[in-house]
Amino acid sequence: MLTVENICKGFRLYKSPSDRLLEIFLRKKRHAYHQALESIDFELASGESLGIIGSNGAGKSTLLKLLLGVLVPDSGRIIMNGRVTGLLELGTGFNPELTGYENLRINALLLGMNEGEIAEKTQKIIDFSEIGLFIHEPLKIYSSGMIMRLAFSIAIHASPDCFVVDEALAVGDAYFQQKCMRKILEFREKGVALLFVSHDLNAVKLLCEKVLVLERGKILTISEPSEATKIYNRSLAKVGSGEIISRNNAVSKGFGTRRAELLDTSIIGSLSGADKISSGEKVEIKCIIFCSEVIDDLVLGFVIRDRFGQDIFGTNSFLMGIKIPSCKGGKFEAVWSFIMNLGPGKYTLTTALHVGPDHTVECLHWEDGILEFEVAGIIGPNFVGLCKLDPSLKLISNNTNK
Amino acid sequence: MNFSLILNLTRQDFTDRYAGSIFGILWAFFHPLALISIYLVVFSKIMGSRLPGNSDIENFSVYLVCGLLPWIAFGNTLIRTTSVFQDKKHIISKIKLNLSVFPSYVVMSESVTFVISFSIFLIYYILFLNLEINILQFLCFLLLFFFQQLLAFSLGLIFSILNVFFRDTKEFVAVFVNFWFWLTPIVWVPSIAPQWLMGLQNNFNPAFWFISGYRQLFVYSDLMDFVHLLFLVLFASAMFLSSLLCLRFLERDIRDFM
Repeated sequence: MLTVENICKGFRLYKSPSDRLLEIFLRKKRHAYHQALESIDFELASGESLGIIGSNGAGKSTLLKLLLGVLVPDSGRIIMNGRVTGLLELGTGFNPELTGYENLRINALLLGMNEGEIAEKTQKIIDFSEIGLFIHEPLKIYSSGMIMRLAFSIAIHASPDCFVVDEALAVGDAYFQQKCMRKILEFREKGVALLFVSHDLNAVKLLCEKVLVLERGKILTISEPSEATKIYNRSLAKVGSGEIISRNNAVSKGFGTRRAELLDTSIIGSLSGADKISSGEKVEIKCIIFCSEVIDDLVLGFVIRDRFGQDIFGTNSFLMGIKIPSCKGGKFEAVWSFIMNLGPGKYTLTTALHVGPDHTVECLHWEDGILEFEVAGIIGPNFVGLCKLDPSLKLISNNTNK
Repeated sequence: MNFSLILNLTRQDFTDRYAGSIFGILWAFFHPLALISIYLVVFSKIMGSRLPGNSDIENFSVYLVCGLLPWIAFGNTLIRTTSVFQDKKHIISKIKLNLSVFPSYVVMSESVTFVISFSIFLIYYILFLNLEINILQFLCFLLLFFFQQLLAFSLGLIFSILNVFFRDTKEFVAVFVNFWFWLTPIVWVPSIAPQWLMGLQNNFNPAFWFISGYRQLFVYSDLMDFVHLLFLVLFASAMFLSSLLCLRFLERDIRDFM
């Protein structure tokens, strides 16, 4: 269906247009060169779905544009059988002065439909978009959600053989998003190849059988989703190591009497080796503690909060019934390890040292949101929600009417 | 080449330009009408331009109109084509389309305007001036117009490619078209020009080739000068081929630069 053979793409960057003119006449190099993609090779069969992930600037958009034919590769070949439609072009050529119907026609023609196809599909498109009689009103009175719905409906009805979806999927309300998602899954069953580009690892895992990880214009791996997300997470860690993973006490604020201090805190997933953790992965929270004097009843605790600041889980050594010995001028390490059974999302970690069961007696050192981490992707069976409860399911048949 | 797409883009072009205005597409005719009246008053009434051997003002008006209307179509096509890639950047950078679709719809749009305004002229010409044209002349007219617009397309395409890399091209073309307009005998009569200038027109000015053609047909009710037609056909075809080659060689850079 789609074969990409060893494509390379680079861009010449000129400081100003006059440099370009001078280069032509003086035949002297006056540009910087940026290699956006290097020897990209992959294949996609009908009905297959491929996710493309990579950090910003990895070359995702360039690759998409090459596949859509908007850009031409420097070398290599792209062999494509059939029509490619992308949601990149959502609403391209829309004119606010024209009615929804006229815009529909123009957009459909731009997507490569012919008159017959348009006549046949117009009603379906209008029905899917749920715009109703507004279709005969000029686009300028539409809400932005309506415009997006119309655009998406047209794109989805262009009956592509390969469907390219990027972040644009995140339009409209949840109801319409799910409707689109169902349609895309329906496509896949009909044998339409799907290319999905996203930062959202969970969506990629949900939709794709294979995932291509791009890093600085090169393919890091093409493998099954969980393996690929692991590799992706690890590659991210390399980029931000020492900066994201741990924050030194000297620069952070925190509060407390500081008779004992948290010098350093880090969270590391055992598979990713970074602060990107899959749900179901084993993690370690490591704290380095310094006591300037002997403290009785020293307690160490942590709280995980979600992005809304809600406490998701918290515990401390007192609750766990572990006594922490302390000595004057002593520095030691405490490691919590557990299975990250939280649902995908972004979380913050708060750590604290105090005397007694909670911090109301004497708070030695409290660090709010000392670090952030993300739970992305799920190991094992999929689930929704905040936490993984690992239920078992037993089917009991009571054949009463035998 | 997707013909129905070009037609729809043309239609959209008209709605775009006149959306929200009361007179709408009528402006496309008011504009040349105003120009014609101005030139008629200035050149004919005030400066007393007359065709050689003829003191009729109606004759001068025919002379003026059948030079000016084709020129407006030609000049506008050229100017608007030059910036078409920039204007349609949002489409080009998102959908794979043959790049020549864009200059084509401009040519189409300006040709439609021309056809309508020229038909009005023809009605006036036949009904009020009681002049007639035969089928052969009419075919010549169509041929002439076709090659004129082919030339406008080709030059416009070359300029539009340049304009992607150098935005100055657009400004340059506007100035260039203005000079070209005044150097070609459109509003003035050739008899007032020095000999050497008319020699240049005959050999090097494509606009003169087609404008003198229209005049042969409508002012002198004659068939046109076939040397000029031949020049035009050859030049327009050569430019057409080179513009397409240009597009082919530079397509990758154009897309990169968008």
